[in-house]
Amino acid sequence: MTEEQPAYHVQHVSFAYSPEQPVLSDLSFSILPGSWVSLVGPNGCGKSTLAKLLGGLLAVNEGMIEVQGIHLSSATIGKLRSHIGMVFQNPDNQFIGSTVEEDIAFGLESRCIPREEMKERVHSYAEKLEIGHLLSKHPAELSGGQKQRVAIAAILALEPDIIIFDEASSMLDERARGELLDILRGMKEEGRYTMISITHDAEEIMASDRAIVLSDGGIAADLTPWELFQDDQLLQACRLIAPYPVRLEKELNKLGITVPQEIRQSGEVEDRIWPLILKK
Amino acid sequence: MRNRLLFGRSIETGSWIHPIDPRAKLTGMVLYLAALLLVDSWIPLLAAAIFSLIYMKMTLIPLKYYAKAAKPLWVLMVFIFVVQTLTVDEGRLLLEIGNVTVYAGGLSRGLISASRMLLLVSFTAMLTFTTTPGLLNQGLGGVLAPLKKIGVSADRLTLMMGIALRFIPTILDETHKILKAQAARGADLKELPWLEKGKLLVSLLVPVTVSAFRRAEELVLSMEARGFIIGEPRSEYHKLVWSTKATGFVLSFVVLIAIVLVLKLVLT
Amino acid sequence: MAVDFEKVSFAYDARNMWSHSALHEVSLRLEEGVFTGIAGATGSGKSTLLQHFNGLLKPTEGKVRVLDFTLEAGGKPLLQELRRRVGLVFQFPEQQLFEDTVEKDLMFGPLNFGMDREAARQSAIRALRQVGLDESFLPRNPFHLSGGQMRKVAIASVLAMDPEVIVLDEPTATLDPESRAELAELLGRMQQEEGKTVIVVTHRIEEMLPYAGTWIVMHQGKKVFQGSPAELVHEAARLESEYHLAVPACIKVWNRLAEQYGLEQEEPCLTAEQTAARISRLLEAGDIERKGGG
Repeated sequence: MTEEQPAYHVQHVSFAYSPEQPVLSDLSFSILPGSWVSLVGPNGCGKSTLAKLLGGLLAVNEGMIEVQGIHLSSATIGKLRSHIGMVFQNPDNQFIGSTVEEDIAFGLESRCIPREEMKERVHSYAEKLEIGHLLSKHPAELSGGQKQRVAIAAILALEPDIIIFDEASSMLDERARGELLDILRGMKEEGRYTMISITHDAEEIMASDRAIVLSDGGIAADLTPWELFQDDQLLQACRLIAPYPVRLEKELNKLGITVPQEIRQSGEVEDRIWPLILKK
Repeated sequence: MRNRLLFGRSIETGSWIHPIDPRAKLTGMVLYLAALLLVDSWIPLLAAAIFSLIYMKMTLIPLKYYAKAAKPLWVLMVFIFVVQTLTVDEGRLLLEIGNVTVYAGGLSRGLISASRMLLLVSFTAMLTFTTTPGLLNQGLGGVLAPLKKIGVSADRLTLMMGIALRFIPTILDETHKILKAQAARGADLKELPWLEKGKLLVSLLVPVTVSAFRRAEELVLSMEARGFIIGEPRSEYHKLVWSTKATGFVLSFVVLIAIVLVLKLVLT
Repeated sequence: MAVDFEKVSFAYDARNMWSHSALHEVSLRLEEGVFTGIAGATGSGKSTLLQHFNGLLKPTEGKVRVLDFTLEAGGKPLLQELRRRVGLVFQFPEQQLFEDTVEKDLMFGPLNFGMDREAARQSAIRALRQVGLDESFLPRNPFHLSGGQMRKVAIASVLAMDPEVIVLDEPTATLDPESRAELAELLGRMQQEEGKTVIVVTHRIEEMLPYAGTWIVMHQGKKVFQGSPAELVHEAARLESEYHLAVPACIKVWNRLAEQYGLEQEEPCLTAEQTAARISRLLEAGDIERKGGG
């Protein structure tokens, strides 16, 4: 496997739970290793189904998915599974163990990793996600945000190359959501993970490199988050609302106040506005 | 109301009983059950009760937690007491109202049976109080492993046990929440007449089942995504270590059976 | 006065080893017909607080007055009437739906409160309209609706009792942004057009900011703030640093602007439109030099 090999290569993929109701039809796209892609679209557009296909939890009806150059099929899924991690929406329903420690170990046990290494990984990834002090806790003693950290630690401990977040932040409160976003940003910076997030969250989309917009089972747009949030029609079709700083900038534009290109290219959206309006 | 939280939760106190091999604890509990079945009079019951209390104390878990664990079964205990009291016609006649007769022997039998039940339920709570469900499950797998020879898969059994232990509190919690929501819509379980209570509980089945299925589906996805395949070999995170304490623990229950038997022989 | 709490404390079973979000000496007063937002992180006691509004929980200490009912430790008021007049919508209310048609689910509440079938049906239709759905939903199976529609039906099932006070716990959680905004607007209308007292627990302050006239911030079972939106904006930095309140971007932007130009005494601009217009006026006033291309 060379560096250039795409993490995903999706060709003409179609899927339907029943023949009368096609969910996805003829999707094609590639995802580069180390990139962070948001899958967005209105509810029922098939994005969660696509996540399951990419995670190998469902099989395509037509077309082909290649993961790191290997055709994803029932013959290869066992091997490819270890490269792909998934974090789901409901923190409770993906907590398999009865303590944090057991939950992180669950996937490692499935992979027959020797006990000594398991202990080491459980502890090091728990520390990384700042849940080292919670190892013996029962899920009922944890907040939603803490449970979601456990879910991420459990996935990272399996050391996958690709991680799919299926609305992982939508059940968290604002603070926990912000913290999760920081974790994702940190993972992105590490550069070792290809990340795919299915989300409605404007900030999460904004933090990613690229947005693939799904609509009626097809790809409606494939663009940068910045471009997505400039396109009012597209936003409406996805039932999304741009982050506040982006909306503010748009309103400023309407009033004839524009942000210089070089500022737009760099840094956080919020920071783009300040040079414009702050006194020297 | 908060008893549901006791279900499937361990309470860490650092006692010497906590780290004992779960297989030893399971064996101990089976022996305890056997001892209780042998108890049929007051003196052996007293011996068993003292034995139980000493053990409960040694776990360093407050006794009221054991009491709470037995609370949900009080109806059953009362039922056992009433049935025994009314059906056993031994000893002095104490009370006669129409057809209903209560004899001294029956009363004593009823009390003994109910006490046995109380002891059994509260004492065996020690198992879940001192062992995390994961360990307990692994211990169960160990105890049941020989069943493989007769074609019963212990893996599946312990998997089901594990998931049940993990999710029963969650589902109870949710049921409780739905009950509250119904109360907010004017159907308060606490204030309704019995018939209406029944109807309301039946109506609860729909949302609770729907949600349990949704949870199950998500759980399966999550397990699959983490490489779980039923029947495939797995490594084990916890290592079960059979210590001398474990042997001592099991032996103490054998001693209990012996004491009960001796007392029985001496008393008859 | 719709709600009046006097030093209300609530402790879950005190002997319990596991701590729960209890309440500590909470005092608060909410006028009739106002829209109140209650903010705070998970575990701040928000949900425990809500359950005092219709007597699902009774204070272990202190006194709760809701409308003309008084709830105290040990007291046993007529809860049924209180619960009709104070509608409580729990988090993820769609999980409580259980009938096979929307109509039956909507009529469940009114029938429990002694309405006859025809009146209950009329209430059901009225409630559906209130949440922006029409009569065509009545015969449909609630389990076949979309997530957003189910949420609306579940909220309607509480509105069908025609409560004077509507209390909602995180009504917008997990919905898409557009549906969230719609729902918030709907609640705003409920207060403005129908004069209902609306109380919403939210951790997304921004959503309810255009509608809420009063804000309460809870932290670890205590009320740490109550005031107008302008006061919330003034105190935002303190609430964030002391109580980890998640302060929305619109407030942060305004506070930064206010600090820079000394606008603290002004009514804060909290929408993108208002803020942009204010910035534009600042620019025109020559307060700052325009930088960059135009």
